[in-house]
Amino acid sequence: MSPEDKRLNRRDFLRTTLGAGALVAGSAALAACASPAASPASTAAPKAAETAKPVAAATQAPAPSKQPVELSWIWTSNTAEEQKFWEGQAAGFRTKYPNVTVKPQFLGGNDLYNKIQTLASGGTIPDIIFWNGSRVQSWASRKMALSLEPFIKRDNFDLADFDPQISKALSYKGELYGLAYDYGAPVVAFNMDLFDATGVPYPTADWTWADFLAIAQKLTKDTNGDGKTDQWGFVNHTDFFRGFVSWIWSNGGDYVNDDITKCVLDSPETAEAIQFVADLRVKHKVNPPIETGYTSGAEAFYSGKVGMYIDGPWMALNNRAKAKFNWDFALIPKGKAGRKNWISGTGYAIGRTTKYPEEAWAFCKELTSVETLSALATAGRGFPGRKSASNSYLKVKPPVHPEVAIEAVKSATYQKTTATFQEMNNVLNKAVDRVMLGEIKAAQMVKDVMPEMDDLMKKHLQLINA
Amino acid sequence: MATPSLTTSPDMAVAQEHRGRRRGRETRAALLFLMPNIIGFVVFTSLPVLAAFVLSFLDWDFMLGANFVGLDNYRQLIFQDRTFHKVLGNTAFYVVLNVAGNISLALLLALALNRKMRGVLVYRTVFFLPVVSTMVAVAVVWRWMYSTEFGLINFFLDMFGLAKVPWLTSTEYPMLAIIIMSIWKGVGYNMVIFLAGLQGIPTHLYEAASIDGAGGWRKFWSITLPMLSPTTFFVVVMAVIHSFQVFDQAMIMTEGGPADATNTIVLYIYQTGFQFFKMGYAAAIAWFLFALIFIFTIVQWRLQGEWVHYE
Repeated sequence: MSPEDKRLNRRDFLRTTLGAGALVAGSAALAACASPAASPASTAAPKAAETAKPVAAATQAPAPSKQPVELSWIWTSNTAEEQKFWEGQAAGFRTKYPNVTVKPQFLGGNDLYNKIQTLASGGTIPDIIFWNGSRVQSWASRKMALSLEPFIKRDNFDLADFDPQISKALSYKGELYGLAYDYGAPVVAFNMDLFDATGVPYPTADWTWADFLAIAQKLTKDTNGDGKTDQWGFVNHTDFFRGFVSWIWSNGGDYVNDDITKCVLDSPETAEAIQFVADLRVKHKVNPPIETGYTSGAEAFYSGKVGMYIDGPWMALNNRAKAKFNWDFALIPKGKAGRKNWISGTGYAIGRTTKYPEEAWAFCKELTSVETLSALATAGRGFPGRKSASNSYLKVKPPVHPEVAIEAVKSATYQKTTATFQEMNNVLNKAVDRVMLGEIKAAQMVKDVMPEMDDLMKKHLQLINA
Repeated sequence: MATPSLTTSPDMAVAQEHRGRRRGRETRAALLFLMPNIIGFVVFTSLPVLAAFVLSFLDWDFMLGANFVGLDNYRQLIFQDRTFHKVLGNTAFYVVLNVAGNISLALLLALALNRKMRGVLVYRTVFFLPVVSTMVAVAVVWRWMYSTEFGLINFFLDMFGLAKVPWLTSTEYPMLAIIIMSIWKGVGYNMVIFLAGLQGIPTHLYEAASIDGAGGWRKFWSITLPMLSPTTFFVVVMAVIHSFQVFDQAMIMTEGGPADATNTIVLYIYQTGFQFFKMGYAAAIAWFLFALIFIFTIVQWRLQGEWVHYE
């Protein structure tokens, strides 16, 4: 007996139960003489379970269903204000589709990803899921979402307005799985008051790593004369993908090759870039030590004692709420390979097990329409996924120069991820932690993690070729 | 013998049967009342635990089907997984210091608050307050307090001319920081149990000891400690079981970092299962933890004869 035979296949199980469910639903509908032939609810369900292309055969969009439909929507929100904002984003859809009840569920931070994965393990993926670039390979290879290609082809849906790099980030094996609501490349947020008080000129568009270090050193000082530093030049994001990748790329290094088949972390350029960031803390001491965590760097920046922090343009909303000082955006400094930004972002995707793919697709389209995304940009919740909505982002200040966010994506390419992203992220975070603590040099670290990274790449290839 | 024995008297037999039937009815009634709990335990605890045992022999991705791998998960866990070994060490460190610190402090507090004085209820409430606060909220606040450059604790250390401690920003101190916080959070619970234990010690023992000329110290060693030992036993067993399962603090304050310095067994189970899609492996770790706690509890149970005195 081969291992293949022993597999307890969840898909077969789902297929059978869903098929049976659809049969029951279908005969019940027939009994009621409701002539439900056009209803996507009863026709699409078995298809969705059988193939990845639920509507490939259809040539034109079926008439919108009139019968009551309930869509579950799992989404991000860290605050009550944010939750209200997202509810508002769905208001237009509710008006247009009065027969569809949208049931949102909001979760913050990593809890959201864990919740979606846990729901998926129970076979109940919500109809609309949060499709972040970092999880795309991992989730699509595990068949958690529906490919949008059949819908796009059938409706002749125009993707040209979406940035091609973010569409790439939300695609798996060349097929788009999510419509982007926001995206962005890292920018430097800087505390203008601190720069002014210290007499340091603001960053220019063509500043280099050396300029960055010099500015950070000038900003780092002892303001009350007790012999201890109490103001710092810069604070890093502790996460590898958020805090290190643009430095690595701008130095000519990388973490995986462009085909995403091999880990290439152990190059001198990569090690040099990681060491540069670590030295800001360990050697030059212009970066205060912060605890490991997704929000630690931002919290230190909001204390008003740190001059610069790097993250995506989505931080504008929080900066406005939490920074009690004047601030602006600047482009990241140029390394020896130039300015190489990463792009990531998030889209709306359709949960694989949905019973209402048509309504879900309508939801994805409506929530990424020019109007909806313009409202998103005006609220500062993100840099909009559509180019035609990006002007709305420029209307809101601070930052004094919001156009920096647009400039930043020009030099950017999508952040490459793997089907083993979560584990890889964990391994790399632990590794850079050690370099940031000065326990180990980056040159040694990149060698140390290679066996583990190679294993994870092997597993990645197995998953996507399965 | 002409006189029939009592038990065979027809009257008595009826009465006994009656009593037996009543006892049967009572048992059924008791079972009925217990049913909600029993069902809850079976459905939400026993079955998942058994399912986890089966899972621990599988390589299950939870989306893509499962392979039977025999003892591979356990083999990897015990012989190869360096992260697990580190996590095991971290947890052991936590268990030892947290149990020792919590129990000795709880006993001291209970002794201090077990007398008539002004405001004793206020003190008891204050020490118990952290117990009823949510761990998540508490951990978030302590995380701010522990901040190396921006935190309250280092601010005070600095004010008194002491060196700042990299509480959460080094590999040496974070576990200690978590232990200190956990003791603060949990000490009130054991304090209350100790208080109850102390109040159960008959006062005549102390009176008799006083008459015999025993001092306070002597009374503590010869009366309080031995009389309190059943309470202490309960507290130690429970504290060990709880400490092995440390999770929230590490998850919220440091996400197990930096560099796994605060990663614990349960946090690692969570990461492995729900983040890395390795459900089978996570189940194996969970069963390893179960075995560990089980062995510790059995050993403690066996040892209680050596030091626990029941009246």
